[in-house]
Order: sequence, then structure tokens, then C-alpha cells
Amino acid sequence: MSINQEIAPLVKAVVVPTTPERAFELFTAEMAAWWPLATHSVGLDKATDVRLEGAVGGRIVEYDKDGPVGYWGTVSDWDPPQTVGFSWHPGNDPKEAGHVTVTFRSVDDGTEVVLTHTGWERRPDGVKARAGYDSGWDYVLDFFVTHSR
Amino acid sequence: MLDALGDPTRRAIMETLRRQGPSSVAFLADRVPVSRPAISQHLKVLGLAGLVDHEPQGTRNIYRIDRTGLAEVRDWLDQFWGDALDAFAEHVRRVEGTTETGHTRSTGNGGGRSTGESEEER
Repeated sequence: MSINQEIAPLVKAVVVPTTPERAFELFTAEMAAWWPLATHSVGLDKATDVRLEGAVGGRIVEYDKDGPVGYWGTVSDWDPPQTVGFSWHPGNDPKEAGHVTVTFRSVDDGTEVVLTHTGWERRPDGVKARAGYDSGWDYVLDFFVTHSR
Repeated sequence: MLDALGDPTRRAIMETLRRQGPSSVAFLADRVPVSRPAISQHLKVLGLAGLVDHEPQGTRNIYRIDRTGLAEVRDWLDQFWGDALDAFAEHVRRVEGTTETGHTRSTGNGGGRSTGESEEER
């Protein structure tokens, strides 16, 4: 297997029982309602909110009770209800961000949501995931917290 | 070691190994603007982080990217996004009031390993 294959985009998909319009809205405007903040955030149990600002240039912001904790990325593509794209760099230098694109497509039983993460191999937290932590995300978070102070 | 890739020289070394393939310290030192001892030191850090592997060839070591490290990172991210999308699907089912469709799947890159389909060949 070549390196090029190993760093190919990571692609995940799920079908949800609703329209693309509604799926897009739930994914973006109502992110806080479903995003697993307790495990996928900087503050873990202290995280209170995450907001995706719905426009090109908008940011994905994590909050705790005192306000914004940090930025996970910046919206680069905003084409509701088909596509939202954003840089992805929780804990990293934005210049080294990966990029995530999420598309919403009508299928027989609802909407297929396809998430594509490119440039992920540039992330230093990947090294941390490799370093033997139970959860790579913990490693990301440590990095994020350290670097956002 | 915690931020093995957080250093520009180490990233340059990784990039050179990726583009040029397995390389000696001398070869890397010709392409990355630091001294040979510095290259060796950076390679040591990358090795400890599991990003670079080496094997002796004659009197020198040949360094290459350790693919296991990349595969593990990929597996981890695969789970990270899988968990996030599962949570999303569960939320949609809850608010939209049905229980029909289900779990995330990997598309084209099953098991965290890619099988081609690369849109981003480097």
C-alpha cells in the first residue's frame, strides 16, 4: 500500500430519515443539539455549546459557561442544502488545518450525508493518537488547550 | 515527542521522505536546511513518535515513513467521525420521529484503510 493511498480522504456516510433541507439545518444551525460535546470537545464535561456560523468565513466555536473556548475551523463552503465545508484544526495551527466537506443528497429513505476529511495526515494530534492514549481525542484536547492559552 | 510534527524541520523531513522515498541522513541534509546532526536528532524524535522507521544499509541508516502510524491515525479519525455522524443520525431520528435508518459506514475506505478512490494524490 502506498503512502498516497493511506492518506486518501477519509469518507464516512450515514442516511438520515428527513429531507436534505432539514438535515442540513440540523447539522449546521443545530449542531449543539447533536454534537457529542462530552467526548468530542475541548472542555469535555465543561463544554456547553458549539456553534457553526452559517456563512463562508463563519467559524465553528466551542463555548463553556464563560464564553468561547476556541475555534475548530472556518466555513469555506456554504451551499445549503447541498454542501457545507470547513477547515478543521482543533488544537492546531490553522495553516495546517485539514478540511472537511459534508454533502446532503436526497435518497429513497431520506438524505444521505457524506463527510469527507482531507489533509488529516497533517494533524499533529494524529501523532498523539498514535502515542498510546486511550482516546486520540484526549490528546487533541490537551494540545488544543495548551496552544490556545 | 508530543508534537513531533509541530516543528517545521520535522515536517520538512516527513515531506521529503514522502516525496523522495527512503532516504539517508546525508540525502535529507542536502534537502532540508539544517545540519546532519540536527537531521539525526529530528529523525530520532520522529522515530519515537512512530512516524519514521529505519533500517541499516551498509554503514548508514535508511529512513522511511512508518506507515503503521498513519494507519492508526486514520483508524482513530474514522472512529471519531463515525461517532459524530452516529450521534447526528440519532438526533435526526429523535426529532423527526422515525426509527428507520441507521449507522454510519465507511465509503470506499473500509476498515480505515483506503482502497483507491483517492481524490488527493500527493
